[in-house]
Amino acid sequence: MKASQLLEGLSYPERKVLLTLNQLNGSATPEQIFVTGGFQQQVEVMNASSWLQSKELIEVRESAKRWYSLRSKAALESGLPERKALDFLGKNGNRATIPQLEEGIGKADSSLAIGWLKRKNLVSFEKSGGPASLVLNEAGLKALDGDMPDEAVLKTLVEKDICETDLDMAIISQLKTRQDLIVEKLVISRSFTISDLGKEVISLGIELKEEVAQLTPELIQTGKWKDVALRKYDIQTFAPAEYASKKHPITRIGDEIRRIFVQMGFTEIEDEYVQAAFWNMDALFTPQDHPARDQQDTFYVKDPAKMTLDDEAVVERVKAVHENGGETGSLGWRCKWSREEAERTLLRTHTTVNTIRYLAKHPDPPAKIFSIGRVFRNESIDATHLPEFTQVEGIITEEGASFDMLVKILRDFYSKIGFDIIRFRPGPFPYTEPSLEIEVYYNGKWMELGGAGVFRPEVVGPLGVKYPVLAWGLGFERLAMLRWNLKDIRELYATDMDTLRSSPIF
Amino acid sequence: MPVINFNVKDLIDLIGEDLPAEKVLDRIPMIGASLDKYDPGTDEASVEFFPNRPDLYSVEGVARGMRAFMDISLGMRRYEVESSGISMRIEPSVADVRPYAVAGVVRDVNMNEALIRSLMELQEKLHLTVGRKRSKVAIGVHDLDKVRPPFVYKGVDPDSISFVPLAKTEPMTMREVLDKHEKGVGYKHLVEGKPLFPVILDKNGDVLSFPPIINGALTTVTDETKNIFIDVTGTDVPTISGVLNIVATSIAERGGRIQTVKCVGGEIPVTPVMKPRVLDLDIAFANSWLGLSLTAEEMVRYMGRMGYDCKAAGKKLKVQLPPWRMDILHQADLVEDLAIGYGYENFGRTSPRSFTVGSDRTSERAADVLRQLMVGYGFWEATTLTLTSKDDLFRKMRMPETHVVEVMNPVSEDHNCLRNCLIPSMLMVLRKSKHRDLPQRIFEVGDVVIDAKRRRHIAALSIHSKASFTEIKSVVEGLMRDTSSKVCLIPSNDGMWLPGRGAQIVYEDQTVGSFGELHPEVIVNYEMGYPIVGFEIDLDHLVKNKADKLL
Repeated sequence: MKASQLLEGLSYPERKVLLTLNQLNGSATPEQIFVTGGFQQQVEVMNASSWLQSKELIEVRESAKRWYSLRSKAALESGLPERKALDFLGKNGNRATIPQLEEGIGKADSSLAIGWLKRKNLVSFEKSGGPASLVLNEAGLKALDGDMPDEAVLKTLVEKDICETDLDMAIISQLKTRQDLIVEKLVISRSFTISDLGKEVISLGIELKEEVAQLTPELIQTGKWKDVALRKYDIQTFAPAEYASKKHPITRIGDEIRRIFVQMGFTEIEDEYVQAAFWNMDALFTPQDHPARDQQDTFYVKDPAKMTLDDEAVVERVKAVHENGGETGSLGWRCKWSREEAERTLLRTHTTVNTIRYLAKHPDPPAKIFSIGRVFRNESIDATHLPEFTQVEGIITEEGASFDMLVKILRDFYSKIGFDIIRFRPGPFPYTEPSLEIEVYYNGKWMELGGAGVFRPEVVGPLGVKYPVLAWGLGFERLAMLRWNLKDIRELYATDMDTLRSSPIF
Repeated sequence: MPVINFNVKDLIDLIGEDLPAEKVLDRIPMIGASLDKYDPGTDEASVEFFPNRPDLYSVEGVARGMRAFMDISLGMRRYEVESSGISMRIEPSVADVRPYAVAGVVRDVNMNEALIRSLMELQEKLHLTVGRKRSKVAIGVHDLDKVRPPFVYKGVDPDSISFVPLAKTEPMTMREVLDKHEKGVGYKHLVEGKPLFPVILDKNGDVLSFPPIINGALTTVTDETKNIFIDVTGTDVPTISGVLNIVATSIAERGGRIQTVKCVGGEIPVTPVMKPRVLDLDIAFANSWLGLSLTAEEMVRYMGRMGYDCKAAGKKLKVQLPPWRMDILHQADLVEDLAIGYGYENFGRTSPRSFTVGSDRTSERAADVLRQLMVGYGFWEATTLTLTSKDDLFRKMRMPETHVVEVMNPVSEDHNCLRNCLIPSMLMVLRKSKHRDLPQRIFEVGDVVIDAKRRRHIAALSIHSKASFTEIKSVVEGLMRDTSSKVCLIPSNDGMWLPGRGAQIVYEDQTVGSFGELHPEVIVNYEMGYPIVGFEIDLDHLVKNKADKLL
């Protein structure tokens, strides 16, 4: 931004700080600016300075210095232990044995004192016959009358805290070795310096006039707004984040899919989560010994463990189709079909159960129906699997329905979602013939996104459906994860509040 | 789905035509597979084949399939079959444990590392899939020259015979195999408790196999093996017969002669049965199912790509089914192969013709309107799982236990039943967001299951240091006003609400929900430390007859 624009956008306090700094030869501490500029509060200086810094008009230098203070004044009242020993020795003819000293100033202090006297080189030891004596040497005698250097420092510290620059650090490091005596604190101090850009702005001439920031109701209603200078704002200035509450991404995707289906003339259906295996498996011609019916794949229900099969005619025809193909011309599975197995209660493993039950009730064409619903599979939870997820399924049956029509519908449907480039390859689904898998080209690569097929005659025959039934389905979570760029499917069902807050709608 | 691993050079050699690896790998998915990975450095590929094509579970089978599919050799691959002169007697004593058996021989095998590897993998995949973990089918592949025909398949006392099982050096009785051998431990449930165990013995009483558990070490196939004997036992004759054909023809793809075995007392007297079954394909049916108008000649060509030999006969195509194709139950299966042979990339011209009026479900429309309201009240929507735990629903919520739909085989104790209310799952969302800024306000419109039937509920929670009864009451009353629902409130005694700070919502003389301040114990049970207020309402009840029409 140009200097002149910057100048226009400066607030009153910013102008004042800049001018004061200039007056202080271009560099000063906040305290100096506060005093010299005649500010009301220190915080005015700090706020204005940080704005000036963000506009690159001043530079901020920070320096850290160690400051020292006394932990408590009380510790000093009785003096340092070696001072007590000096006083005792002075009164005792400048010498004493260790036991004498211990008796005179106490055992604890005397051992500390002897150490310090030796370290400061104030005594010498004499050993002539009896126990060793401490004898004050020259320096010791001198110390009798005046403060030792560390005592002088401590006396000052009683008055005020001292910065490292005003101290002999050798003395400080000595004092630091004494327990609980002094405290060291790191103090960061700032100083502000006008930048080149700042100098340029100042050279344009800063006019110090009162400006109004907030346009108040009073200003508007009284007409005073015409007389005051309303400050121009820097529109680039940071504003705090606001988040709109919104529908969950999963719901938004569901709404979109629903809209697409309805536009294409499809009617939505739903059914229960808790189903008899019959509708979920047998009616789809899944053999009773198929691995998908194992407990490792399907959740079975404790209570009710069994459900009555309500449509006896369909049950009989499904039984026949399994055992010998019934009237469909199929070989069937050539195994005895167990009603008991079909009556077991399970949590539906696909929304196809909705479709099958719908077709059993409405076998007459045409039908264009869809489902978006939760299904359950016995899967351990990880970044790509959940025991419960959402399936999208579309079905169409009418006179003339064919595999070719299915492929055409898929092209239209996926294109509406946003996948214009798709391809098909044979799929592994047991209840459709032919089956296909859909691959979409997205973000520069091919990926699998859905399956489709024409229901086997063994599936639709027993339901009394006349024409081919075209079906397709796709993983809803997969779509949501692509759409919102998520790596972990769990995020969709135990979403962190911040993710909810910040999820974009486009 | 089974993943088959093979060397692509080996595959191309088996196909027998000099083809670029990329071209082969590019076409494999189009026959019905999914390429998992390919490492050009080692030339190793992993391909997932579909459960309906066990004949593709070996590199030899894939070579056979691709040879036709890539127009190198259209139609059915024929194998010469002659008699081996060997017989295997099947005694009635196996009826109770593993009633059926078939067998075959492949002589002058072109044995190498690749075949041994492929044979191992083929058996493993067949056992797992069509074999239903060996319960329905078990395969034994033997070095024929180590034993002396004729063979016998019979039931014997589990302690009467001992032999050295595969991968062991010490002899064990059959009963000991079940306890000491890894395969014995893994599959013991298939024979345990039967008075007689099945065994295949040679003339001298040497053990070839203890199906479906383990083979004898004696007949282990090595790179020295010239002649192979295959046994397949199980509970379903067409399946074991088909599996025998797959194994025998896979071996023979590398050279060798398939020979039959006389199965005395068996369901099929001479096996393998390599005579193709013939199935009629109705030309009009195929065309209408696929939405095409192919001529008989075109169909013959596309079916040839899928390894079938066909002949047009009036309105039908007489289709010979390769004896290793055991998945063909109906002509619809042939129609699928016709579509694959024709090429999936060539479909997609017919639009639906029927006129239908689309519509979404009333309850979805109602849910959408309610969601908009909750967003307007400043709540974020959460979505949670229907699966939850009884501990979450009852103990943590201080609610008396009622009947819920419990799963017999839960994936974890956190997901052992279907929820009967939404608030517990929503508390998990708040707990997950414990370290995020407050206040947090969330809602959910979701399904609960009561008496094994779905109900649509709406619930909301608000957590912050000043969350209050008044705050949530204002929202609830707002919602009631917005939905024109005349309700009255009576005190709630539910354990989840703080005593004296919970209210039941009564609509048309029925309690449709409640709201209030959550009991501190509930908050602590969910490991949080701020006041939480909320409501939960049965939406189906509240909006019935309201959202389906404009007027």
